[in-house]
Amino acid sequence: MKTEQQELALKKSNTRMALSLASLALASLCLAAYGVSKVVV
Amino acid sequence: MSVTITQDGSENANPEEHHAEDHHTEDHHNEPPKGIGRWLFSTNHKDIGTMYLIFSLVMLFLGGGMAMLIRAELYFPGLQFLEPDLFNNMVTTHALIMVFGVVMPAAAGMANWMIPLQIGAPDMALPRLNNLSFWLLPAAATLLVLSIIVPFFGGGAPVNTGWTLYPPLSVQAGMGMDLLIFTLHVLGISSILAAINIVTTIMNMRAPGLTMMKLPLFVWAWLFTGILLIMIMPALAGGVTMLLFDRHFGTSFFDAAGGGDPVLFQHLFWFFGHPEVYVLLLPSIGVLGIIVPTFSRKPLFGYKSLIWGMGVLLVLGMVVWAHHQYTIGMSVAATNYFMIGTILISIPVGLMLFNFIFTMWRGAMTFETPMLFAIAIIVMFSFAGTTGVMLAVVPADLQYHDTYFVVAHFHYALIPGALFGLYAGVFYWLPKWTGHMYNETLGKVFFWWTTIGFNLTFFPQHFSGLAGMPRRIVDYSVQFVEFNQISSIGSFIFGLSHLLFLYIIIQSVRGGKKAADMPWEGAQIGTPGLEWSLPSPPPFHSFETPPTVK
Repeated sequence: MKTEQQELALKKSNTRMALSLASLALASLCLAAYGVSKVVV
Repeated sequence: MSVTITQDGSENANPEEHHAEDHHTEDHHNEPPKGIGRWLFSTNHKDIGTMYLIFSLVMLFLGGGMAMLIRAELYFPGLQFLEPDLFNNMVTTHALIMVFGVVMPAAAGMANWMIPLQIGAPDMALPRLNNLSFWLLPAAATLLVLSIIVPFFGGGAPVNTGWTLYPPLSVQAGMGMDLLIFTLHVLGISSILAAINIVTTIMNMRAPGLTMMKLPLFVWAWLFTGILLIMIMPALAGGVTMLLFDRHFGTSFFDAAGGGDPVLFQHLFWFFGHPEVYVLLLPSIGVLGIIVPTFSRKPLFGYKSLIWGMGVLLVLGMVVWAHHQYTIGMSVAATNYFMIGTILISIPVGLMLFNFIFTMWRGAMTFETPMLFAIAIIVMFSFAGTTGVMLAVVPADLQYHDTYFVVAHFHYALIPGALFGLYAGVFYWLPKWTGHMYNETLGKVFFWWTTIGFNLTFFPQHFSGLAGMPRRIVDYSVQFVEFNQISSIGSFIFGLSHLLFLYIIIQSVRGGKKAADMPWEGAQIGTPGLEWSLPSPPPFHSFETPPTVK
């Protein structure tokens, strides 16, 4: 069985990874907004 | 490459030997919770996967029913029994249901079930987020159904724009359009959260020793799918939100009179819409990458190049969106760019298909139902690839655009490329999920019934499209009658086959021949997942002690 420390470290790592991916989604939204501002044809 | 699994660090040649010890230590806390709470508050990846799959099956019948209505209306020219606006509403919601309600949830359900089992993880990385990702779907489905019903109760005109929701028509639609926008918001959130969960699980939760280059192709496929989903869903969310603002808050993002441009919505939609087809396709490619080696009893040919191919597909797929918009009046330089990019995409796709064919070459093949679907996918998806390259050529597309040629193309892409991949995965993993073998004879009958029905439905549509029949029309000229009648008969055959599909699944759930831990002889060849080291069905909690992979 994993130790409590290992479980805590895993939870932290999962949260960090999830937040990084969420920021990727946000960056994509910003890119779309930038594209809208340029109204590229 | 072969993977040796040890549950607790000791060498174990027989994957079944350690199960007795497993059952003894895990039995006392391996009971699932009782009652409705088990499902409402589930944090178990198997239960959530099951719910995703059942939801997807219900939506398959709903969306399929709409397709039957469409094809019944189109059996004869003239108006039969559907009002034109309602027909267009069926066309719109059929597509939205199939894309967002069937293929994406089914693929996510398969990912939920199989990824933790394949990588030796006890569950998904974020189990409570997993629960939210699923339960957003019935809420979205309710909003979608309401969007269809509301026009009958004074809610204005039904949504008649097609799934692309182009303004200005979508700005003029009734209350159903607002409900549809909210549906897409909720679906988008569900998909993004599920994708974050899946990518985090794959990156963080692999068993010790399971390096990236030992992962089954299904896991790699979902890694790329998840990244793609995270990148594209915000564009759709932004676009439909701007549509909502144009409808109700006096903005004119898509209104030329107010300084906006309807074409802007098209760019936002297709920036999402084109990569979305790869979101639908990649999980099925992953399933093929599991099934073809198993039933060829040969390791996957070109494992590394398949991964590269999927990566190239991801990148290229994001920069060719405007091949859906060749007729908007873009400059020649712009159309040329998108044309060349689109044609280039055939290279990684062709590479992947050839890798599967080379895997089968000189293999000891058997043709169980999953393998039948896999071979059908390779053949019929190649039809889609061929018509896709035809459509990519700008001057040719000026003739094909908005005709049934496009409808034929994308149904050959999505049904073999996405739906059949899901069927193959269901038949392949049903013994693991239920603990019972499905009826192989009925499986084969279903395969032939559905394949013949599908081809009868959509092959004639290439010709009606080339003959000039437009898309999204409730009535058509008499010269298209024969093609439409063959297509409609095919669609009824195709639709009815799904009743057999339902029967096979229910029969397998309720009983049948007991499935072995590894029901498929070739399942351990190449880069297998760790699911075959578990009993069929796996215990409620699996891999509480992570296995070590050598």
